[in-house]
Amino acid sequence: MKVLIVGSGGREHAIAWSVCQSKRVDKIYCAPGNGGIAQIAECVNITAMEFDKLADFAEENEIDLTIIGMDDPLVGGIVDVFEERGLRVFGPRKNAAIIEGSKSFSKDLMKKYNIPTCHYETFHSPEEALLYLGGCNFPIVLKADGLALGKGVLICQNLEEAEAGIATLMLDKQFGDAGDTVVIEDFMVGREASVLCFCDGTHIKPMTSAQDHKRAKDGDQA
Amino acid sequence: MGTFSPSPFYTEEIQKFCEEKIYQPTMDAMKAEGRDFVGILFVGLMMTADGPKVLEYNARFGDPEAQVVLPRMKNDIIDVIDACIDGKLDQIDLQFEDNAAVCVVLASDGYPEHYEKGKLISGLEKFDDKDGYYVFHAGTKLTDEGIVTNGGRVLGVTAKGKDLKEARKNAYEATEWISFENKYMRHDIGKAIDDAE
Repeated sequence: MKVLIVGSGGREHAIAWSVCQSKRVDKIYCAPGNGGIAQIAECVNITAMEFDKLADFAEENEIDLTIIGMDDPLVGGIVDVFEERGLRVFGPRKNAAIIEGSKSFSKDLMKKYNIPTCHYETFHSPEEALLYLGGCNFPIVLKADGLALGKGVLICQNLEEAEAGIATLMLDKQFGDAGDTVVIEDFMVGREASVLCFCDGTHIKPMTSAQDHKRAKDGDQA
Repeated sequence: MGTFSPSPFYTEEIQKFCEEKIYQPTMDAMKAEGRDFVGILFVGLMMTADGPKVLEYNARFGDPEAQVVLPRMKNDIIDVIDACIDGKLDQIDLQFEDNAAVCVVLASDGYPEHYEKGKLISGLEKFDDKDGYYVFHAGTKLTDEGIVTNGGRVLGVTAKGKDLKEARKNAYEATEWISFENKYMRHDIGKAIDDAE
């Protein structure tokens, strides 16, 4: 079978490597891919947000399965576009990818269904957010509601930092519309773990756990 | 800037709690809302004194988490993905190797603020014939001179080992096989492995 992978990072290289191990796969394409992915897949010069071009490519090249690696196209509804055209695709539809695309959606979901998470409040205006921050215990966590290239989460140690954060997200709009709404959360202390899960809409199977060091410098600095 | 798998703090007891109180309830909640979730759900957890809590959800594989998790998966990924799309994931016996993996990200010096691109990368071929060692490209570009850096995060060097300590040793050895002018990496990836003892 023929597989198309959408994305261009280390994640997509790891997915391509994994797909390459499958005995069922004859040919892998990756859009847009990168220098390393090109060694195991044919890279296609279409970017991840060009949904119609990607679907055209999948149709013309009789792709049997398309795997979406990145968050932006998923939140933007690429899976819906592929499904409408009868193309087989792996990833959540737009109405499910919102679990990543909107922090306030996911927090409200957890509250409604009693899924353990920390206390939070959602704000649509900087004035309300600043009023609330005046009565907060610090540190607190400030999150842009929408996607912000992984940079929309600010840990604020005191009121000054939090006020600066509100200005960055809501007034200066450093991350555009993503900061129209913000979530302010209690700061949690403990060990972090990431668990990736395969999901079929009804069943969920967790993979082995991992722990990430996000920061650039030794000792988790910067 | 690096990641490791498995987490020594994510015990079987915690896993059981998460399956009952977090993972399945999240699937059920999305279904109840008419938003059936098909794909990869990334659950970011904080293991607090009051038990595990959700930090965040993502709707896709984590990066670089995918670089330590997928090399340890025993199943054919296409079989698992097919089962997800067809609603038959309950028929899959998902299995991982009983070992560990560590990934160290090689970046351009100055990342994330200011850094130069277009530096020629050498040593990539040293991974070709070695089992359990991987070099995943993040920000690279193929040019006439060869593969050059094309971003802040350039490569993910992953190695497996029988346990986390061996995997970490192997991964840091493998980072030495790669050269480019402004190569930068963290030296303390997997420090938590020592804390677990």
